[in-house]
Amino acid sequence: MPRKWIINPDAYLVQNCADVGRFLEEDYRLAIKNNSIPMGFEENFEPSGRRFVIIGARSVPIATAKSVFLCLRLAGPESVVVKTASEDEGFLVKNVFDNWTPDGVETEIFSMGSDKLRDLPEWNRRIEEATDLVVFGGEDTAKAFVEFETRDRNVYIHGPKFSFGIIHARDLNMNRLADICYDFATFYGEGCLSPKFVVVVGKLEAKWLEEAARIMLAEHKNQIEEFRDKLPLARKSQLVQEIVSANIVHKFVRYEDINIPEAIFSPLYGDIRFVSVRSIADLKPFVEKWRSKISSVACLEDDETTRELLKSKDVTRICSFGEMQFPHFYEQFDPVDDFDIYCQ
Amino acid sequence: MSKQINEVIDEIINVINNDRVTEKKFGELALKLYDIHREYNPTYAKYDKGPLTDWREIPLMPISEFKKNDVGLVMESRMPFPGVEFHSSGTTQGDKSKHRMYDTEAYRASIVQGIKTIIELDYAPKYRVVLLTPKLPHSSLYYMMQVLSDIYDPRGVREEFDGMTDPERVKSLVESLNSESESVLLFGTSLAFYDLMETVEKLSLPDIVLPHGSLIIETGGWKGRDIKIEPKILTHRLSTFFGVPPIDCLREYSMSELSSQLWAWDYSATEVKYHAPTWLNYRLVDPLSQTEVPEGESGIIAFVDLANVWSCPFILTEDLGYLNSTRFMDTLVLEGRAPNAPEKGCSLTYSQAMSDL
Repeated sequence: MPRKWIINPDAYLVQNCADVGRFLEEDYRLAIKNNSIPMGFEENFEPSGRRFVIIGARSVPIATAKSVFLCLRLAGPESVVVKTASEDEGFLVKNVFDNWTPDGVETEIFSMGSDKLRDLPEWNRRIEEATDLVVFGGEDTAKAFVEFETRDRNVYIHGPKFSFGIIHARDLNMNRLADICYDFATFYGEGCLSPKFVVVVGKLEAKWLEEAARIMLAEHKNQIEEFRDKLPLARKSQLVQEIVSANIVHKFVRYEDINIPEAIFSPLYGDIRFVSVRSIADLKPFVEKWRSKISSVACLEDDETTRELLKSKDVTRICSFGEMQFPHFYEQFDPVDDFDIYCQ
Repeated sequence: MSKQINEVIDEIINVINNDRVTEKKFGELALKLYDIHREYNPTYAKYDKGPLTDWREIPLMPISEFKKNDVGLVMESRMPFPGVEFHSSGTTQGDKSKHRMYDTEAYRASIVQGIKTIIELDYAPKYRVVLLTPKLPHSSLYYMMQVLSDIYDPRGVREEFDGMTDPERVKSLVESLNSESESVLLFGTSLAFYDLMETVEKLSLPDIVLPHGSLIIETGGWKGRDIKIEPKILTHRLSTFFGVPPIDCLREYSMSELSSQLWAWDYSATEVKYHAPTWLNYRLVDPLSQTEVPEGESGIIAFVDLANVWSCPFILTEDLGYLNSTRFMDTLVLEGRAPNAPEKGCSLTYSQAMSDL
C-alpha cells in the first residue's frame, strides 16, 4: 500500500506558498515530506453533528492543515470552517479540503483579518452555529475566542508555547551539535516547535560556540539569509534593533542568559542561542515557572537526570535533538491535544 | 582630537545658523562626522566600514543602541562628562534612550533655525509659550520649549503638565487661555490635545478662543491609547476648538535621539507631509541591507542629522514612512511605528504623567 500524505502537492503548491508566505520553497517541501500519514491510521466517519471553526495562526507551515486533516478524518463533522492567518496557510488548508473532505461535509475558508471578519454576517453565523472552536494563536487571540465558550460550544485553545533543548557539556560532539543547529535553523525559530535556546549544563567551552558557527555558516547560511531578506520591513526592523541587545558571539550564534525575557519571547530569525547553567538543578525553577508554556524539550535519550526532571514537571513532549520540529503523527506537543479534541 | 571636533562643530553650527547646507556641503560634513565617530565613538565603531568617499554609504546605527549602550564621543579632555543628557519618555516596556551631549550649541542652533523654516522670526509677534506636556527631568521636548520661549517669550515656558482629564486643571487652563491678550504658542502631544478637548466638551466649559496670531503645534502620536483620528480631521478639530486658522495648526516630528526636527503645515492634506531642514537628511531604507527602497515604497526611516554631533548622526529608526515627491519638493510621510516596535515618544510622557495621578 503506498504511503499517504496530509498535503498532496501539485507542481505549483510549494512555489505558490513561497510566493505569498514567510518561508522558502525548501521549507514547505520539508514540512510536507515530514507529515505522512502512518499505516494503520484508523479513521472515523461516524457523523457526530459537530460543527467546527478552526482559527489558524502564523506558526510552522503545516500545523493548521494537520489539525484540519484530523478533524475531517476523525471527528465525523457536519462542517469545518477555517480562518487562516496567512495566504500560504490558506493554500495548505485548501489542499487538505480538496483531498480529504468526506462526502457531505461542508467546508469553507475565511482568509481575511479579524477586524473585517467581525462585521461579516456569514462569519458571525458560523461562529454562532459552531459546536467546537479550535484556536491556534497568541494570548490576544486566545482571550478573544475564549469568550465564545457556552454550554453548547467548546473552545479549545492552543495558546502560545515555546520549546528548547538541554544537553550536558560533556555530551557535546560534532554530530549532536549539527542536530542542534538543524533544530534552530529549520523554520528559523518560527512556531512553538522551534527551540528558543539550548541549555548547556556545565562549562561550555568556547570551541563549541565556534563549531556551531561553522555549522550554521556551512549548512544553513544561505537559507537563513534568504529568509531574512524575505521578511517584511517591520520584521526586518525588529531583527536589526534586536541584534543590538543580543549577545552574538559569532555569526548566527548567540550566548545569553536564560533569565532574560528575550530568551523566550524574541524571535531568533535563524540564530542559534546557547545558555549555560552549572547543574541541572539550576533549571528546576525555570521549568517550574514556564511549565504550562513549554511544548517540546530535546535532550539525549540516555540523559536520565534531565528526562526525570522533565517528566516530574509534566512537560508535554520530550524528544531527541534533530527531531524537534517534526513530532511523529501521534505525538502530543501541546497540552491541548488535537487527537483528544477530534476523537471525542 | 578635540581641535578636530571643535572645528567640525563650529562649521556645522555656522552652516545651520546660515541655513546654507548645500547637498555638497552636507556630504562633506557627514563624511567628516563619520570619520570622527568611527574613531572616537566606541558604540558607533561597531558599525565602521572604513574610509568612505560617498556619504550615502555611511553605515547607520540602529536606534536601540541609545537604550542599550552609552552612545557618543569619548573625549578624555572633557571627562568626566560635564554635558547634558536627554532621556526618551521610554516605551511601554519601560526602557529609555539616553542622548548625551557635551554641550547644546548645535542642538540649540538646530531648534532655533528649524522653527524659522515655519515661523518668520523677524516678523513674528511675541508669543506666550504654553506647553501641554509634563516637565520631566531630562526631557528634550521641554528643553526645546525652553529654547523657543527664549526667543518668543522671555517670561519662560508655562507648563500645564498634568491632568488634561482633571476637571479642575482643565477649568483653570481654559480660563487662563481665554484671558490671554498675547498670541499663544500652544505646544502639546496629540494625546494631550485630545484629552483637553474631550474634557472641555464633557464638562461643557466655555469655548477656548486663542488670541489672533496664535499657533498650535502638535507632536507625537497616541502611544498606548487606541485612538484613531485622521490628521486632517484632528487639524480641523483643533482649528475649530481653539479658534486658530488651520494654516496655523502645525505638526512637529522628532525624537529624543535626534537634535533636529521635521515640520508639517499642510492643513488640507489627508496625510501629514513633513519637511526636514537642510542639515537633516532622511532616507527610506531596507533595514537589513540599509539600501534605499524604490521611490514611493514604504521603508524604515533613516536619518543623518548633522546637529547630532556628540552622540551619533547616523540613525536607523524603527519608524515606517514613505517619500512624497512633487516637482517642487520632497516630503516625508510617516506610517507610524513598525509593528512590534515598542511604543515610544512624547505622548507616552503625557500618558505616564496621567497614570501617576
